Amino acid sequence: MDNYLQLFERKKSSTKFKEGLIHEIIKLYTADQKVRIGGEVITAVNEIALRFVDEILWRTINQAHNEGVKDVNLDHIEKIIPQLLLDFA
Amino acid sequence: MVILTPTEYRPQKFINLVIVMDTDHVQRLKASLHFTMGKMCEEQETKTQISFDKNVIATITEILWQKIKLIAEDLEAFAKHGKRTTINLDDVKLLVRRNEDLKAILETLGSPNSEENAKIDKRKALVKKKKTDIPPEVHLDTDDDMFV
Repeated sequence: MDNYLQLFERKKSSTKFKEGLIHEIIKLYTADQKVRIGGEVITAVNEIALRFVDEILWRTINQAHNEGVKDVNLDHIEKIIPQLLLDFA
Repeated sequence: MVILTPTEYRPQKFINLVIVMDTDHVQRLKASLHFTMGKMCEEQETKTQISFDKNVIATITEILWQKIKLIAEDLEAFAKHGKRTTINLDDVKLLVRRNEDLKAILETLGSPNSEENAKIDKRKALVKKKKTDIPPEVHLDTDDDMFV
C-alpha cells in the first residue's frame, strides 16, 4: 500500500519546455501577422501546456496501473482522452 | 461544395516579415516538442516503473500540438474581440474560465506583476507631486547693473 502511494505521489514535473517553443508555435497559428503577444501570456500558456501534459501522463499511468499492465498503450490514451478534453475546455 | 485542406497545406499570407507555414519549420518545432515529451515520459517511468510506448509519446505530442493550435486561435479571437492588437493576460484568463484549478494558477501569475505596477504608479505619483510643490525660481531683474 505504501509502495503504491510512494510511486504515485503526484509532483509537478521538473522538465520544462524549451524557452521560445510555445511562443513559436503560437506565432505559427495566429493568422493575422499584426497580432502581438504579451510577455506574461507566454508564461501563462507555458503553465497551461505543462499542466495539460502532466494530466495526460498522470491519467494514462493510472489507467495502465489499474489494468495491471506495465506498458502504456494507445488504448489507455483512448480511454482518458474524452474526459481530459472536456476538463481542459 | 467546399474542399477543406488540412492546415498544414494551407498557405499563409506573406507580409514583410515572413513566417511561412513551411513543413520544415513545423517539423522542427514538432521534433522539439516530441523531445520534451520524451523527457517527461522518462521522468515518469523512473518514478513509477511503467514505461511508455513510442507511438504513445508521438500521440501525446500530436495532441499537445493541436491543443496549442486551438489556444493560439482562441487567444487571437479574444484579442480581436476586445479590439486590441496585443494578446493580454486577460485573454488567457478568459480561455481557462471553465477550469477552476487553471483559473487559480493564473490568478497567482497575474497578481505579483500587478503589485509591482501599483508600486511603480505610486512612486510616479509621488515624484510628480514633489515637482509641483517646489515653487518655480523667480529671477528678479534688479536695476543695480545700471548704477555700477
